[in-house]
Amino acid sequence: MTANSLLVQNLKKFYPVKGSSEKFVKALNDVSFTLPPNTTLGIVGESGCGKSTLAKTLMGLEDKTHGSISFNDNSFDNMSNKVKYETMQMVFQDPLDSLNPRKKAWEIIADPLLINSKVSKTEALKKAQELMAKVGLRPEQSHKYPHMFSGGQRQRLGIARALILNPKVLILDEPVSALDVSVQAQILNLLKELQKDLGLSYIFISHDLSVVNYMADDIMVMYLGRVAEYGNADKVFNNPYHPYTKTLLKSGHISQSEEIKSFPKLISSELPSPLNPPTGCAFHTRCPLAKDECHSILPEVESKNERSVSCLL
Amino acid sequence: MTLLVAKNLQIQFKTKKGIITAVRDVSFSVESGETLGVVGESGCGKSITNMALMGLLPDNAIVTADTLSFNGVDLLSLNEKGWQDIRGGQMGMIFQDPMNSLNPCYTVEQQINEVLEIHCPEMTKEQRAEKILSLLVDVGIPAPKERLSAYPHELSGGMSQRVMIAMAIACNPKLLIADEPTTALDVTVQQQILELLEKLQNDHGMSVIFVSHDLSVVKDITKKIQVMYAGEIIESGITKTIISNPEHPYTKGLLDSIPSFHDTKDDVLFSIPGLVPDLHSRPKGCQFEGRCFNKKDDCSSSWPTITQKDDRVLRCHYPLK
Repeated sequence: MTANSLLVQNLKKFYPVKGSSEKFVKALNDVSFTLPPNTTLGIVGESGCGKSTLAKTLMGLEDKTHGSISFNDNSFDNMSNKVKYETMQMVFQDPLDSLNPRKKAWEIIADPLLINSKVSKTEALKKAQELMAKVGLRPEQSHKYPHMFSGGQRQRLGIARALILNPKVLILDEPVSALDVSVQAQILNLLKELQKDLGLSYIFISHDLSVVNYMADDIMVMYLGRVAEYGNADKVFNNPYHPYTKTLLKSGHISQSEEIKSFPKLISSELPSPLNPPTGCAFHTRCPLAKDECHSILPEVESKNERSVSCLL
Repeated sequence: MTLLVAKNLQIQFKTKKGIITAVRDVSFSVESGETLGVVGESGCGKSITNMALMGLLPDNAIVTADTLSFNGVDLLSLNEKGWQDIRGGQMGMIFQDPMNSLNPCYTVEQQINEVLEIHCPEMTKEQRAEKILSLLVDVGIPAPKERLSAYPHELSGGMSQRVMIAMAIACNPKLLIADEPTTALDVTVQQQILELLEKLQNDHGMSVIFVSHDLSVVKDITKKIQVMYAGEIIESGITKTIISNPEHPYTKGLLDSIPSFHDTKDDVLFSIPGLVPDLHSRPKGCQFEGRCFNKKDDCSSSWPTITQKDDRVLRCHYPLK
């Protein structure tokens, strides 16, 4: 195994359904991937496909049902929280809601440090101000409160907080969705620059395909908790195998290829209920290419040309 | 035929800190059957302009204009009763967040029925019931009969937006204002809503004002586009020409900051430095001057006026060539 890689194998997260001991919502089902250092894995899919559950489960905010997460060959199960949080940190979608309004900027950034290590407040302040400079904020602003910053600046605060423990992996859950395009560009540039400087790995979750295409080295398309397609981002974007990936690319108005533009419409716009997922391939209820066998046979994740695809066709 | 004309529209708000001008010197027109795209970042005045067209601004707003007429009616002279006739009848609106725009206490049928009751009083109860069902079919809701008695929380985001659209087109409006109608939706659902809007527009011959911050969506569905910044129109014209050849530095910056308009990943995204000006103390000259890469000395002292060349309207001293 490559050093300093994040390895996730057969990760599952089932939520029990109220009033039944046998029914589960399978929010994550058999998700596996490898994230080498200094790379970005983009995760795309519609709401409810398990993107955010994946982020939470990786961070340990939700307990996993099954599977293994390991970093540098050390399993997360045997890691103390302290080591875990020094390995992996998270940046959230809504920059205002994820910052404590009663704390000053430097306190927000330094909090993980004060909790996880024995540093004095002065040292923490100094470290926080260094990081503020690194993410493009003026250190003089360290005594301001979150509401005094603009949206883009707040997201920079969130990034600084995630960086203070020198993690190796950052989970970015829709980090730019709440921002205007010009500010979005600033944050994306900052993230790329930080990755280059610090050798970070990113798990970049977004519903915006053009952003993911710009950021990601690898891409994973999820559908109802399962991996639909996973592989090199350029290859997936230029030559998607799975009908769902094709649909997403068509709807995202970003592909120039005629094959994608003329790809048939979805049969139904509605995502099936995860409480009662379709038999066979979960996508067959909407897939314009579905055949009879798709209704009954669950496609295995198959690898071809360094790409995993779960589709019978 | 020109449906909507706004000339020199200005919208001000009385606030504790004095009067602020949110929108100024905005002039545009919408022809029958045409789609106008409006783009710009948060706070550029897109939504406020639409609210003014619908008469939905709060009491502390002051709206003035040389002309603001819709279908021959002077909107500035309307009283509340007059507004009610136009709003929901000849002018429909779809809002950004469909989940929050429907009344959670009423069923789908009751909500659409209300629109018809008010604006089409000549219809009988039976006619209304028939119309509601056909509207739901029009907007592509599966199993429409069962949905009639559904409450908004039982519908998905895409379905709620379809119900909103059904309400907006219930009285065959001449103009549909769609304010970020797909922003809260997934891309696959967005695509279907856009296709639906296009189809309805062709069927009913409506004009549409389509507001969005997403240029990649706007470029595919509109013929005309206007770009707003700090409450002013800074560039407008034919969508294709503007996207392929922007002349205002702000439009160029906006386009360059979108990843999908880039070819390679190694490009650093262009980002517009700085922030939108504070409306309490607007710059004296060009509003974009502080963030512009192409500014010259006189940009900060004199406010550029609107110039028109062919189809393109521009507010810039030094347009890009």
